[in-house]
Order: sequence, then C-alpha cells, then structure tokens
Amino acid sequence: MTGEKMKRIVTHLALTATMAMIATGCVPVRHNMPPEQRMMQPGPGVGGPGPGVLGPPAYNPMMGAAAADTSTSGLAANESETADGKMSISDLATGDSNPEISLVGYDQVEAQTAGFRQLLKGGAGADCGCGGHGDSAGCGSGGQVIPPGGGVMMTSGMPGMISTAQVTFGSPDGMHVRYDISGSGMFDSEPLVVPARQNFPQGGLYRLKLTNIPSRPGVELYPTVELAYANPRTGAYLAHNSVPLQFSEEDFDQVLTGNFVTKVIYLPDPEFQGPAIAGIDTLVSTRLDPGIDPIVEADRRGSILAIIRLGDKDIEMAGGGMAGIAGAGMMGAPIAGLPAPFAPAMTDGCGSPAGPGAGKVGAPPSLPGMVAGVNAPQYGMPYTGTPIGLPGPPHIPLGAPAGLKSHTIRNHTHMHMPRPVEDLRIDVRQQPGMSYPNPVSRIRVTEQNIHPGVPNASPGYEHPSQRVY
Amino acid sequence: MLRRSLLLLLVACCVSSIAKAADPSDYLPRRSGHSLYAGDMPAGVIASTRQAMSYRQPVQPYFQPVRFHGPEGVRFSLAQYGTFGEGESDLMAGLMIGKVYRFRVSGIPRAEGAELYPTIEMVDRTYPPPGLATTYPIPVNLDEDDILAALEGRLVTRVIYLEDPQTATPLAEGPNGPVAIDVPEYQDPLEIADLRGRTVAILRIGSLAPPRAEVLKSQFFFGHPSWAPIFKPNP
Repeated sequence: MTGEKMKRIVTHLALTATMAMIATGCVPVRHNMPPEQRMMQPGPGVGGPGPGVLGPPAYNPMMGAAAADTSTSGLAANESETADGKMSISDLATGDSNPEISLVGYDQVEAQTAGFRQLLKGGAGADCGCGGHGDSAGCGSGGQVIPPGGGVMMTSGMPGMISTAQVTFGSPDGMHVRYDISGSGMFDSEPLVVPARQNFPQGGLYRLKLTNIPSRPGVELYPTVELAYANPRTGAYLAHNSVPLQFSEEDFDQVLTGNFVTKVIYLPDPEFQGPAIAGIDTLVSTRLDPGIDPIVEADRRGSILAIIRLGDKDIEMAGGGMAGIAGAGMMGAPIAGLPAPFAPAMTDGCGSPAGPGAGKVGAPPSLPGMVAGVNAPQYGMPYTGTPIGLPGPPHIPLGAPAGLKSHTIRNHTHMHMPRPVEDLRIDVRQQPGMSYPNPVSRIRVTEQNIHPGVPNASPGYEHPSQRVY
Repeated sequence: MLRRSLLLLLVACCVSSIAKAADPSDYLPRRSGHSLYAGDMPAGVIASTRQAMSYRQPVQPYFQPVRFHGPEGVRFSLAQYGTFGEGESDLMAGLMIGKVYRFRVSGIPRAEGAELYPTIEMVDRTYPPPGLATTYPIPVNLDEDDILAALEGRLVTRVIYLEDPQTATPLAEGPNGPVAIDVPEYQDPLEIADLRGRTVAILRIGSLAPPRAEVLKSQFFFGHPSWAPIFKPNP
C-alpha cells in the first residue's frame, strides 16, 4: 500500500514537472543549424547547395561579352542571356527567371564570378571587389576605396580597375618562363628570360612553363603560381615592390625525384619580423618539419602574397586533355597582353569572388563547357530541374522520347525560422570600473630663494657706481 | 581599552585603503589601443582619410612645395601624363595635399641603369611665412642606404614630420636638411613621427617597375594627380 502511494506520488511529481516545463517554456530545444559555411551566405538556402545538386560547372571560357558564342546547352544559353544583359544577377539569384531550371546559388557561374566579371566589364556592379577599409564606401565611389591593388584612387575613383601584382622571376638565370595568354595550357606568351618581370592580375591561379633550365637540359616543368588578393596589410608592399619568385637547385632536385614542392611567399607580421630580416619571407614545404603545412604556417606568420606549387607533371603530354584548347576553362584574359588565370585563387582576400564558388573549383578546370557525365548528366539521363536545386525525376522508360510533363515535389522539412530581432538591448559593464584620483582643488605655492637673485640680471650689480670725490 | 584601539586601527586601515585609490593606468596595458593609422597602410589611405576628417570642408587645394634631394648624381623626375622627363638632381615642385605622386629616381651611383619609382604621399602642409613658401619647402632626402635597400627588394618607408618646437630633439642637420632617424622593423615609423611632431608626407621606396600595359598605368600613377613645377631663378 505504501509502495503504491509512493509510486503514485512520483508519477504525479513527474507529471507536474512536465506540465511546469511546458507551461514555462523551459523545454530544452535542440537547434539544428546549417553548417557554418552556409550560415555565412546572405540567407537560408540562398547560396548554399542542397543535397544532390550538380557540382559547379567549369568556368566559362572568355567570360564577359564572349560568353554567348559557346552556349549550346540550356544552362549555357541561360548564361549567355545574362551576359547579354537580358537578365540581372539579382533575377537569377531569386530563381524566378527560369522556372524550369532554377539556377540558384551553387550552379551559377554568373553569381559566383560576378565580382570578377564586373571588374572586367568596368562597371560598378553588384559586387564591389574589394571595399578596402570600409564596405560602406561602395563601388567606385572614389573617396577612400582601396582597390585590391593596394593603390588608392582618391579622387578619380576608377571603377573596373584591374589590380595586378608584379612578379620577378629571379633565378636561375637564363631560364625561360612562358604563361597562358589565350587559353589554358597554350603557353603562348613570349618567353621571359630570367631575370624578368611580369604583371599578373591578382587573385588568379596561373600555369607557367619553365624551359631552358640551366644545368638541366631537356627538363620542362609546369608550376602553378597562385597570387593572393592584396589586403590592407600587403597593399603598400604590392604597390611598391614586386613578388620575387625563385626556383633553386634544391627545388628542381626535389621535383625530379618525384616530390611535390610548395613554396609560400608571405609578408611577415611585425612580431615575426626580426631586425635583421626585412621584407618578405619564403616557406618551402621540403624544408619544414613533416606535418607542417607551409600555407597554414605562412598564414599564421603574416599575409600570403603568392604560392608556388611545383611538380613533375607534364601538362602538354598528348591525351592529357589539358593542352591546346584556346580559351578553355579559363577565367578569361582580362587585359590584352596580361597573363590569363585558369582558376581563381583559393586564398582569402578582399576582392575574391565571394560566395560558394570561392575555392571550390570541383570540375577539372580546362574542360570545354558541358561534358556529359563529367560536369553535366550522363547522356540519356534526365535533366529535369526543380526550384530547390534537386534533380528531378527521370523520363521513364529510359531511352524513349521524353514524355514527363509535370512532377510535384512536396517539402516536408520541419522549419523554425525565428522572426528577425527588432530591438536589441546591450548592457555593458566594465570590470574593474573606473576610479580616478580626486582632482586638484587646492594648490599651495611657496617660493623661496636661498640666494638672492640678481636684480634685473644686470651684470656687475655688486659694483654699483660710487661717488667720486 | 584594547578593543577600542583595535577598532581605531581597523578604521585607520579602512581609511587608508580608500584613500589609496587604484590608478586607472594600473589596469591598462602599457601600449593600449590600436592606432587608427599605421605606416604600412596602402599609399593614399592616410592622406585621404585625414582629408576626409578635416575640419576644413571642403579642403582648399594647396600645392605644397617639396624639394627632392639624394646622393650625388641621382636625378628625380615627376610623371607628367604617364611619362617622365629628363630629371633634375635638385627637383622642387608643388604637390597637392592628399594626393600620392609616383616619381622616378635615376642615375643611382654604383647601379648603372637602375631606376626606382618611389611614391610620396602628401598628408599635410606646412605654414611658412607669407611669400616664403618656396624658401621653406618640405625636404625629401633619399639616403644611399634607402636606395640600396629598395634595390634589394625591400620596402623602405620614410615618414617626414614637422617637429614639435616644444619637444624637438636637438639634432644637427646634415648638409641636405634634417637627418633621417632609423627605427627598427617592429616599430611603426608613423607612430614615432606622430609622437615627435606632425606628419606631413610619407615616402615609400620599393623596386616596382612601371607596367607595360596602358590600362595599368593609371593605377600605377595613382590617377595622375596634377603638380606645379617650381622654377629656380637663374643666378
């Protein structure tokens, strides 16, 4: 009897506690937040991909006005429309421009590369590139906008200015360096004979071809150089100095024995800059302890200017699929006569094509547009889109003419999107608080001369004029 | 009796602890805060920010006379529409406040054919007596050490400041004007200059060469700001 009563009391207590928790709202709520990368996007689901979304297509060859002539598929046709100015990027971003294939966020070359393209077109557009010391300055508004090149246009404020970094190829002497101008893997520039200098647009990944290497006849190497965008820390340096790229005998030895060499050139922070070492510093992967990433280490010590990656892969080998395609898979040559990057730089920095595309070039960079099975669906597979980015159902039976006319997708995702905060109250308390000494309220001055001073500082006062008798 | 004396002692202790209030600087680090400007900022930021924050709005355009001087044989020339002239060894010109000028240094001793393209950022002006502006220009001296360091690929930043007459250090002037004070790498020259006086110009010497592409020239020359030539009277 007593045990039964106890059990009942416990049950009642549990029920009461549950009721109280529900009534007071003290139920522990577990929030299921999207990943951090998606939280940085402007809104839930705006820039981030959903599950099963196709990877980003290769960067459009000759982006800008020439984007129209390569379009064959529907996706590319959509891009060409945008390039012609029929639709704006904001239209695309909202996803209501094309109800059949909604290119929201991740699939959009347009949205990903908007900053770079706007920069190339020379117009102040949706993306400002680098706002420098203040986002509020806006695009091309003159004033204090710091372009990524580090130079500051104070009054003229030229929009669409291309910022470059000057690169000096310092050693070994006599080596020939070629870079791409018209297409990835073309290496169609005039050879630079080391020592030489060349301006490269910032924020690009460039493939170089090294030939005529002294003491290594017949060896051809294809390193890549990744140039970071300038930031306020490196802007002054890049506006006045060039970035020295040097290849040592040790680097060539490492590469020819099958190793992969990463060299990171960085501007050390003042605390890492000893009095004897001035200017920039270089970290080489082969000279660091195993397990230490030179990029992470350089980023810790200062601001990265350039990253060289050197291996022994022959880019121009037949069948490699990388060479000889004019304009293939490049970001496009911004300026005639300047090197053309084949991919954007993956290092952070202002002016980078901020968004999901930054640093996530998934497809091989030099594929010419859409290739079935690589960056487009397999031939014969469905290509029906949905407004939320998921691939649609296939046309069944496979192989027969497409007959599917409509499909319905219901979203059963539980959602709790809280209302935006209207009033925010911040209480500030500094501890320890302020305690000033009492201000002076009374001053006593006592002046005492031990030796009587010289009256009016007249010399010879001790010999006054005397009466002459 | 003992209890009363103990009470008195306690009261005295309390009073003494209250009277000895903590100095606020005890809680603060030695170098508190972050300065708004740093010497390694991109060229033009400091000048344009100071112009924008100036109490004189709009800022009156003023051509501040500046005299360039360097080692023997070194010639200076300012860019005019993207091209440089022959160059003078003792160049004097009026530069606008708030602008950044790119000039060429040629004829460097023991480095034949080498040319440097430093910049000078005009931060503030001087106030000479009326009519004597060209008599008291801002002296910009390039040491041989600076030139050599720049040729080695380093970035040399020289902050030119007008000394505070109350706290000026009695240093003997060199033959070409005030001598430069070298600061260690880990110290900010702008901060030290602001402590000693009023910064008027910032000189940055690097080894950047002018770009070949036309479209990059405007950026290289910081938008081609105008300058006023100052002709020396013939003796």
